Amino acid sequence: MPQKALPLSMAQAGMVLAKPACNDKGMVLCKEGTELTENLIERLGRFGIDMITIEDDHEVTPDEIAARLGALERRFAQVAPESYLGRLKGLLIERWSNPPS
Amino acid sequence: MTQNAAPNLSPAGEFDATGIDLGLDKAEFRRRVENLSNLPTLPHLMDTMSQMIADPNSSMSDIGDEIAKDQVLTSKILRLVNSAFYGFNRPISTVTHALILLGYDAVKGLIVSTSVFEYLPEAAYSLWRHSLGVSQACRAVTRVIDAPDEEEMAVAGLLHDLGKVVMHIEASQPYAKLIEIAAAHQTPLWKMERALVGFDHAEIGLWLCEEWALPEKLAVPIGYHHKAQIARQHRQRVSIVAVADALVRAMEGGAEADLPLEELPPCVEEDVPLTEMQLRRLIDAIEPEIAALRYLTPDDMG
Ligand SMILES: [Fe+2]
Ligand SMILES: [Fe+2]
Repeated sequence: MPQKALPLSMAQAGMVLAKPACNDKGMVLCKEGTELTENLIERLGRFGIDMITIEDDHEVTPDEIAARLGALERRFAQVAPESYLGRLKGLLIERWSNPPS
Repeated sequence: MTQNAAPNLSPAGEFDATGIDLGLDKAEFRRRVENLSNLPTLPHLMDTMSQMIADPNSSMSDIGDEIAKDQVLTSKILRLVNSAFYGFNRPISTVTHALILLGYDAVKGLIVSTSVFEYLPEAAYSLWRHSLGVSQACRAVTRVIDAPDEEEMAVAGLLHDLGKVVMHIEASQPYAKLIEIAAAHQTPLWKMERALVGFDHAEIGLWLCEEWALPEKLAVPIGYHHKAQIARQHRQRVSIVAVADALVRAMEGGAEADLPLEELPPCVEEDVPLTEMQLRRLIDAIEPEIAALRYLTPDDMG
């Protein structure tokens, strides 16, 4: 399952933690796999958590992939494939063509 | 206003600006940027700080106390260093604590950053996200190649487009128009700036660093991030910022409508050689940061 990091202020009940929520001192306040509730979100805020990592079940569509790669091509139009930045482009194409599912 | 002559890139890469009207001529644009009339004066504290740093009788906590007299500034600095986006992983509770952990030069840069970004027009706040992204990316690159002074590099990244911030503040409409024209012609912004107003944001950044007495370790990367090959000193710092900027823009974290990336000069690759493994690690580290920055709102700015 893909993951995404987001600020606690954007968290919603029903989201599932993909990584444990830890405070500044590294203490685990909530284990991964926990489903968030309003109550829990409020408590995490009180414990000073400002970023969490959740499971992202958004299915990337082929159209989205194509649009993203098209924009990447335009962005790299002035870069040769074998150059320093060209290698970066190659890795990004590889990564964005096959989103984790 | 007529705009019939389409501008073109000559074979030498120079932009022909004939027929483009920003609604402000070059001299007036420069005058506005140089006057800095919409920004608060900040040299006072910067000067005091420089004097105290040079004075063997002032301790770090004396300097911390001096900065802490400005409560608004202090709370902004602490908010920034403690935010999830700045990337420092321990809570920092006082200015003296920040000075100890980050060093004088990084804190000076943070004073400039917190004083300037809050005046950025809301319409331009993607530049704030971009700057935070490049700050994080500078950290990541510094770590991956095992270069020193991660905190200073993070601040150099945060401030690398300082000149853009000031142009947005002092000449917001003509500058917004300039960005639109750069996007329409798929031309790197700094080149379009040179063509239309006669100087670019990196030069303005360098000039501001001098005005505000920022150390050269910050000023040079800011001033040369688009021309690393002509930087005479702090070359690796310049190159780290150039690579970080390219990485962030490549991964959809650019400040303006997707402008094209330019090939980096060979010296950047010499200063920051990256194996495929290292490049993959950088992508792994930076991509989620950029994704998280999308949630940042104008309220989080400054
Ligand atoms: Fe720039
Ligand atoms: Fe930039």
